[in-house]
Amino acid sequence: MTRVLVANRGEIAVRVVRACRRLGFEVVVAVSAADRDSLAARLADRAVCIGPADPGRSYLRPELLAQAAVSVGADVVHPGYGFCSEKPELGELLAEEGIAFAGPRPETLRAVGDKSSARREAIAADVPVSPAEDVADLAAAHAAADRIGYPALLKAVHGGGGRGIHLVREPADLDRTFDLAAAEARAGFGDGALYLERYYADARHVEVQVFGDGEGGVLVAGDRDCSVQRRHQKVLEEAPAPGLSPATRALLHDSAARLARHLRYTGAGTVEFLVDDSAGADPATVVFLEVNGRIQVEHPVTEELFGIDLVAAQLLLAAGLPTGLPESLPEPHGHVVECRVTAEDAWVGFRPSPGRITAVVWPAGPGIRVDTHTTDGYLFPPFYDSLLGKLVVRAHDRTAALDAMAAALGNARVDGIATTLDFLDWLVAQPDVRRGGVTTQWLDRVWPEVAGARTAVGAA
Amino acid sequence: MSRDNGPTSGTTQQVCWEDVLELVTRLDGSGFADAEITLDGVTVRVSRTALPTAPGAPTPAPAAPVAPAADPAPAAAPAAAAPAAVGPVAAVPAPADTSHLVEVTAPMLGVAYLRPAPDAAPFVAVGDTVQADTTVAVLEVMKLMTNVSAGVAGRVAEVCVVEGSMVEHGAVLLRVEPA
Repeated sequence: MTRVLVANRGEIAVRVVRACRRLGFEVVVAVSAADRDSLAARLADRAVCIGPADPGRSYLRPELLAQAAVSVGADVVHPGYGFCSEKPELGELLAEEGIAFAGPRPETLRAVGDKSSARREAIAADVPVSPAEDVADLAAAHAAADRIGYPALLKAVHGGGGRGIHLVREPADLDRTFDLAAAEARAGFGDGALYLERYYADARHVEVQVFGDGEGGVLVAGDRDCSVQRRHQKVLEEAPAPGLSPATRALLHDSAARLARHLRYTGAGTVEFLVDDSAGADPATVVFLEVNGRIQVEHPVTEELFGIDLVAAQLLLAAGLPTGLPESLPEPHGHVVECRVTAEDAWVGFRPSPGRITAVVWPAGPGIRVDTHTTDGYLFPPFYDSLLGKLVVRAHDRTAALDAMAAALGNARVDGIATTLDFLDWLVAQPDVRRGGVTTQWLDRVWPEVAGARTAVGAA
Repeated sequence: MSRDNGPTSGTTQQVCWEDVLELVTRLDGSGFADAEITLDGVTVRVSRTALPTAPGAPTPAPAAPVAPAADPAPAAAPAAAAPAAVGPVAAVPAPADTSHLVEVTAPMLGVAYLRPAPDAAPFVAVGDTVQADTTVAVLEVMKLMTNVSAGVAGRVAEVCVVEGSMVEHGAVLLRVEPA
C-alpha cells in the first residue's frame, strides 16, 4: 500500500487527498496548528501537526516535513504549490530516507530556480529568450541599449527573487541608475555585474503545461493564457490561449518540449512565456519567462480541457507506477476558464478579509468544477494565502465558457467574509475579456478607475 | 461499563437517568471511596468522603462545563483525598485534576528523547525539581537535535511521552507542578 504525505494546506491539500482517494493510496496531511481541523485533515486518513500557525515554523520548513514523512512511514511526499514545493532541500532530505518526492529532481529545481540560471538553460535548449547583453560600464550599457531598444531592464547578473531590477525607459534613466544598480548588486548579491534586457511592457502571459518522465520523455498538455493579473497575481486563466496562430502555438509548444527534454524533467511543470502579438508578425514574438517546477494553481484548466488527472499522474510517477497519461494528447475541443476566488475586498485595494465563513454555496452542473477547502463554519485563517476556491467552467467554445462562468459566479455565495466574487462578476463581463487576448498590464490599468468610481459614489 | 447496560447506552451516546442510577448502584456496591465518570459530556461524581451535593451531580446536562463548575468548591477535594483514603484500589487512574499543572509541550513535530544518550539517565523524572531553563527532553528533526526546556520552575508531576516516539507540535511532553 502506497502512503502519501501531503506537505501543504488549503485547497491544494484537499486536491491531493482526493487524488490519493482516487488511486486507493493512504494519505496523511501535515498541518500547522491553525489547520488541525481543515477539510484536508478531515478527509485524510490522518493528520500530523508539524508546527505552529506561522508558516515560517511549519509549512516552510523542509526538515519538519521530511521528519513527518519519515515518522508516518510515507512512500511519497506531495508538496503542492508554494511553500517547499520548489525548495531542492525537501527532495534531498527525502532522497536520503528513500522517500519519493512528487516533483522535479533537486538539481532541476536549482537549474530553473533563479531567472538567470533558467535563462541559461533556455538558451541551451534553443528556446527564445528576450534580447540581453552583459554591460560592464555605463558606456557599454548605452551601446547595448541602442541595440536592444527601450524600454529595458537593468538587472543584477547574480540577482534573483525579483530584486535588483531597474526599469530604464530612456538613455537618461541609464545615466541615473547605472551606478546605483551596480552598488545594489554588490551589496545584495556580492557582485556588481549587471546586464540589460529588453522589457516587454505590454505582452500576454501564455504558459505551456508539460509532464516529463524523468528520462527525456515529455508530454505537452497544451497552453494556458494567464494574462489577467493583478500585480503579477493571476486572477483568471483559460485554455487554450485565445487567438494564437498555429505557428505561434507550435513555437510555444515546441520550445517548452525542448526545454523539458533538455532538463530531463520529472513530473508536472510549466514553462511560462511572454507573447507579444502587437506587431502582427506570425509567429508572434515569444520570449521565455521562467519554469515553474511544481503543479500550478491553475492546473485544473488543463485537466478539464483534456480529461486528465495531473496530480494523480505526479503521485503515480513518484510511486514508480504508470502515470495513466497518454503518450500524446489530441487537439482539445471546447474551452475552459478558471476564476480564483479569494478572501479579499476588491473595492478597498484587495484588502485581505479572513474570518468566519458562516455559509458557502458553490454552483454545480455540467462542466463546473470547484476546488476549495472552505466549508460552512470554516474560520479562514489570516496566516496564509487568500485563495479560498477555484471555480472552473468548461463549455463547447470560449463565449459559452465565459457565459457559463458568469452564471456560475452569480450562483456562488460565501457569507461572513468579503470575497472577490463580485469583482469576478465585473471581470468576466468586460468587453476586453470577452474579446480575449488582453495583456498582463490590462487589469492594473482598468480596475483602479472602476474601484475609485464606485468608492466615490459610495462616499457621495 | 456503559457497554453492557442495555440498549440506551450503545452508540447513541445518550446517557439517561437509568444509566446514572445503575452507575450509582454499582459504585455503591464497589470498594471505591470516590469516583468520577464522564460519559459523553455528562460527568457523575460519587464520593463517600467529600461533602458534595451528590443528588445534584447526575443532572444529565449536555453542557460539559456544568460539572467542572463545581470544582472550585470544597468538592475539589476528592482527587486529593483518594490516595489517602483507599489503599487497595489506588491503581485506579482517577482522572486527577491537572488544571494547576503546567504542560510542557513540543514546539514542533519531532522524535522525542527523554535522555541525553541511550545509556544515560533521563533528563528528569517524576518528583524532580526543575528550573525554567532545565532541559527536560530533546526533539530530533532530521538528525538535528533541539533541546526542550521546562519553561517553568517547579516539580515534575508526570512524564507523558514514550522515549523515541514521534510527537506532534503541541503534544504534552510532561506536566510540572509550578513552584
